[in-house]
Amino acid sequence: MVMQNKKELIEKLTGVHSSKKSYYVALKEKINELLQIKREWEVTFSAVTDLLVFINSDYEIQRVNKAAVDFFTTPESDLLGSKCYKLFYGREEKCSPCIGDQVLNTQKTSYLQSRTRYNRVLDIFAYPAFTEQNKPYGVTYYAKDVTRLIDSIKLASMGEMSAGVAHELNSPLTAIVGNSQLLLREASPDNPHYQLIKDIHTSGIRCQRIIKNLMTFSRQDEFTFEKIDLNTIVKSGLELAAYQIEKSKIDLVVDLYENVPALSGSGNGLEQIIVNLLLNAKDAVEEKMQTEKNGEKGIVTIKTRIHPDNEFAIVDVSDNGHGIEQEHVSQIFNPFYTTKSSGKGTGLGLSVSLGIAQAHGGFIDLDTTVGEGSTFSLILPLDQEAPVKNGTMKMQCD
Amino acid sequence: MYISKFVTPEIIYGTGSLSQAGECCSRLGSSRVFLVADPGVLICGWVEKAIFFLNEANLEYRLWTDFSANPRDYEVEEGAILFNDCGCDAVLAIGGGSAVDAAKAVATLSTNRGKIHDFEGIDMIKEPLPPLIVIPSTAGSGAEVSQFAIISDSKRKIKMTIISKSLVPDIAITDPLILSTVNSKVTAHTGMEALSHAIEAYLSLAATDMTDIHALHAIKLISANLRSSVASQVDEAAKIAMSKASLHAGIAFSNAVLGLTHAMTHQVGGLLDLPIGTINAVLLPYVMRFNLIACVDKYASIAEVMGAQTDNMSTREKAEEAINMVRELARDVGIPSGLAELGLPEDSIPNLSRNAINDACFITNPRDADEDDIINIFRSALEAKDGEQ
Repeated sequence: MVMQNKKELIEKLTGVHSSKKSYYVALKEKINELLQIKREWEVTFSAVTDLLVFINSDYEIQRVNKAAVDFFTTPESDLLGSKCYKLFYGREEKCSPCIGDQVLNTQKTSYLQSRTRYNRVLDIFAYPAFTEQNKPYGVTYYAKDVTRLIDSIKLASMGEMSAGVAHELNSPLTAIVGNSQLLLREASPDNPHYQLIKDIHTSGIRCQRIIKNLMTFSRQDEFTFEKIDLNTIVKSGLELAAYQIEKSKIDLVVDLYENVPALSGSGNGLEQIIVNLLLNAKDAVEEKMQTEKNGEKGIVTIKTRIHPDNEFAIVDVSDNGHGIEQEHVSQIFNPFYTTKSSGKGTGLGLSVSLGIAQAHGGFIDLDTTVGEGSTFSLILPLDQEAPVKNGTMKMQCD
Repeated sequence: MYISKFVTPEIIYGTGSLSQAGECCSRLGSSRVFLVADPGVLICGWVEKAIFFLNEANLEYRLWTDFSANPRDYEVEEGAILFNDCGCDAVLAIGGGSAVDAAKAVATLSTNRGKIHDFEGIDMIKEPLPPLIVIPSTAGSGAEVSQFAIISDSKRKIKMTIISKSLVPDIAITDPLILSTVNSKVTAHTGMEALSHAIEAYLSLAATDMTDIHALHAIKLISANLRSSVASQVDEAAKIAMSKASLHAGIAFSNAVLGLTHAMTHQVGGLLDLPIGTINAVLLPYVMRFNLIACVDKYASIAEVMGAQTDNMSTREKAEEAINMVRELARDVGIPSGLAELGLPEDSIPNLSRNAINDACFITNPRDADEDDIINIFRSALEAKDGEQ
C-alpha cells in the first residue's frame, strides 16, 4: 500500500500524467465561444427590420445588417469598405455638414431626416463609438425608412388641396359642358362653329374626368364595378389620347384581340389607366425624339391580348423611347416620383394607375430596355368574382 | 520500475546566443514582450543587449524588475497585472533563478485567475501560459529548463513550490558570455546549487537513465571547473563548462526531481533571505551522510566522476569519499560549513523540520525520514558536526 502510494506520488510529481497545457484546446474553446457570441449578435441585428450601418472614422462601411443589404439592393461584400456618403447619397464627397463628424466631435447621439438615394426618406440616428482609450472609433447609424409616412402626409395634404380645387372647378365646368351640349343640340353640323363647340364640349368633359381623377386620388373614391368590354375601354381611352399622340407626329399602332371575354371592373378607372399609359408612352417617345433629331420614327403601340392560360386579359402599351434606368424602376410607382421635367408630370399617374389595377385584383408589369423602349402591361384577372364585393371596391393608393 | 517522463524546452546553446532573443519571441508569435530582468543583469548591460535584439526583431517590450532576490507573492501578482495592462503577449526572463521564477509566476497569473497560492503544489495550473523564453545569467538554478517555480509566501513565511509541465519554458537560451559577468560569490553559490541539483537528481527515486546521464555529466563538469570559475571571472573555459553543467543539472532535476536537501533548504530559505545555493551547499553533505545507506553504489559513482582516486577502495569507502569531496569543494569556494554561520536560530528547527516533510521535493528522497530524522540533520548542520548518523 505504501509502495503504491509512493509510486503514484512520484508519477504525479514527475508529471507522467500531465502535459504542458495546450493553447490549441484553449483557443478552440475561445473561438467557439466568440463564434457563439457573433452568431447571437448577427441574429439580433438581422432581426432588426431597420437599417444598421457601422462606419469607421474614415467613413468606410464596416458592418451592415440584413435590412441594410436589402435596402441598398447590393451584396454585403460590395457594401463593406465603401464610403457612407456614396452609399446613402451617391455622393463622391463627404456630406457637409457630416453627421458622423458631428457625433464624434460632440460624443453625443444625433438625429437627421433626409432624402437619400432611391428617393427614400430616412430617419437617421447616429451614435458615436469609442475605443477603450476613448479615441473615436466609428459611428453606428440606425436608419428607419419613413418614406411612406412622409409621402402619405404629403399625399394627404395634396389630397385636401386637390379636393378643394376640384370642388371649385366643378361648377364652372358644369356650365361649360351643359351649355355647349345645348348649343350642339341646336346647331347643325354644317354650322362653321359646330366643330369649335364640339371641341369645347369634349374638352369640358375631359376636364371633368381629370377632376374626377383628382377626387379619386384625394378621397380614394369608390369605383362602381360593372360588366365591361376591355376593347371598348381601350378605344375610348384612345379617343382621349390619340389626338395628342398624332399631333406629336408619333405613329400609333393599335392591335386589338377580338375575343377578350367581358370582365367586371370600373370602366372609368380602367380607361384612366389606358390614357395614362398612352400619354406616358407619348412623353417617352417625344423626349427621345428631342434628344435624337434624326432618330427613328416614334411609335406607340397599344395591344390587347389574353394570357395563354386564359387567366388574364392584358393591355400592352409600348413605346420606342429611351427606356427606364434600373435605379428608377423600383421607384416609378411611388406617388410623386417623376423623371419628367417639372410642370409636365405630377408623379401621380402611375401610382394612381397601379392603385386602380390593384383594386381590380390586377397589376401593372414593366418590361424596359435602356435605349430601346418600354412596355407597360396592365394585367387584369379574367375571373373577377373574388375582388368584387358589394359591387364596389375601395381603391388603395401606393 | 516507475513509468517515467522526460521533458525539455527547446534549448539554444552557444556563445553569443543572446542574439536569438528577439527572433525567438517573434517566432512564438509575440509582438510586445514582458521583459523580466534581475537588477544585477541590468547593471551588467545584458538587458540593454537583449533590448537591442528585441528592437531588431521589431518587438515592443515592457521592462519589469520590481521583485526581490526571492520573489514574493504580492510582487508577482503586481507583475501579472502589469503584464496584462501593457497588453504583453510573451514573457522573456533574463537573470538568475529568481528572475526566472518571477517570470514563471507572472506568466501563470497572466492567464490563470487567482492568487499565486492557488497554484502551489503539483499540476495546479489549468490554463495555458503565454510563450516563455528564458535566458539564465547564473549557472545554478536550472530554472530555464525546469517545471518548477519557487515563490515566497509573505504571510506564512515559507517558500511555495509550484510544479507544472506548463512551467517548462518554451525556449531556453544559454549564453556562456552572460554567465561570466557575475561576481565570485554568486559564481560560488550558484555553482554549488547546480551541484546539489545534479546530486539530488541522481539519487532521486524518480531518476532514470535519461536523467542519470545529465546528472553525472553535470557533477563531473562542476567538480572539475567550479574552483577555477570562482577563482577567475575571466576563465572562459571554466565559465563555458559551468554553463553546460548548469544546463545538464537543470535537465536532470527537472525530470527526476530532487530530495531532502531541497525540501530542507526551501524551509530555511523562507525564514532567512539568503541565496538558495548557499543554503543548499551547506545542507548537502549532511543530507548525503543521512541518505548514504539508501544508495551506496550511486555515491561511489559520484566519487568516480568527481575524479577521486578510488583504486583500492571498497564501494563504501568510495561512497564516503563522495561526501568528503562535496564538502571539500564547498569549503574551497567559500561556503560556510554550518547553518549557525548563516544565522539560523536553533528554536526554528522543529518547525522547519515539520514543514520539510510536506515539501514536494521530499517525495523523491531515496531514504525515508521522519520529523526526528530531519531535526537531527538540521542539528548536525547547525553545529557543523559531521558525525556518523
